[in-house]
Amino acid sequence: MKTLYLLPILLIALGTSVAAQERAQPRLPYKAVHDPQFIPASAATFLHGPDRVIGVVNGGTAKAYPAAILSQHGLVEDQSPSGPIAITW
Amino acid sequence: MFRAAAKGRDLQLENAGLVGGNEVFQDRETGSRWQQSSQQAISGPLKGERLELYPFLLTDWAEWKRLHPDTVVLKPLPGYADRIPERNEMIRQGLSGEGSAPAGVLHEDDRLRPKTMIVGLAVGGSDEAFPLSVLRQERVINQELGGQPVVVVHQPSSDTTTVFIASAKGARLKFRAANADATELLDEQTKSHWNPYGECISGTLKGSKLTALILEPEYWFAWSEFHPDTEIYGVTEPKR
Repeated sequence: MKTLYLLPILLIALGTSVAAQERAQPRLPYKAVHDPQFIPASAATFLHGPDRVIGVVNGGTAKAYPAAILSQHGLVEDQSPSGPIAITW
Repeated sequence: MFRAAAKGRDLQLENAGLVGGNEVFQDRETGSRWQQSSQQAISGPLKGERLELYPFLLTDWAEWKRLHPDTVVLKPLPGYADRIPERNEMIRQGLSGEGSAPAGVLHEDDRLRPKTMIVGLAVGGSDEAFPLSVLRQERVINQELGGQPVVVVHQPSSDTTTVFIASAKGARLKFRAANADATELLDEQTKSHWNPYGECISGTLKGSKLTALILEPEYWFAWSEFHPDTEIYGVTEPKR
């Protein structure tokens, strides 16, 4: 019985330490992306109407590079029909 | 945004820190270092060469999706996806013009506050900066730059700026907004209607397309340190 009473307290304690870890998450490397992968617009649920994007049309394909991703990498390299391009923020 | 190629050679670039508070990239092929704001190599075997700007549109997601419903989107890498909301907030704050220039700026031009957001335009050896706040007010600017008539269009609802050579079928054109948001334009010469992407949608010039120029959206401190002779639209105060 005693264990059952303790369980909720333990869970709360665990939750608090996870939240603390998230706040203290390490900086991610500011590193260029050389092999960008793309998803359909319908899958980009992290994007909202007012969010800034850099848009490019390449040989009939439209690509959006969200500023919120670009600014974490500084540089994304991609291909265009006429050679490599660098998308920077 | 530019082509990663110089002297007929494709280049692979890496982040290489800041010079003058502005990003620098280094190519793996020659080790030359390239300044973002001037697109020029500042050291290495390709020093003095310039990367060519590549056409792009800086806009918001709603407008891009409206223009290109079939667009694909850069996939965030694991971990980086979690930071998207805070990054969007930082980007929004960056548009405020507040804050001082970063350390190491090569020379400051105090005609505007350092973090004023501008769009820069270089035509025929002449440079001009258009402050975002002025663009939001004026929406359509007919201007001569580097001996060319240009029209700068700003749609305040999506903060989207586009710029074109203001002539079609050999005739020079002057434009004005046909509605409050400049999502439609009218040329004074033929009264034809145009969209803000340089396409004539009705009137005698229907089907014509204006030649687009490439804008460089930047903070004022970065544009002015690498374009020292730049004019500023709407500011007549001489450079000190």
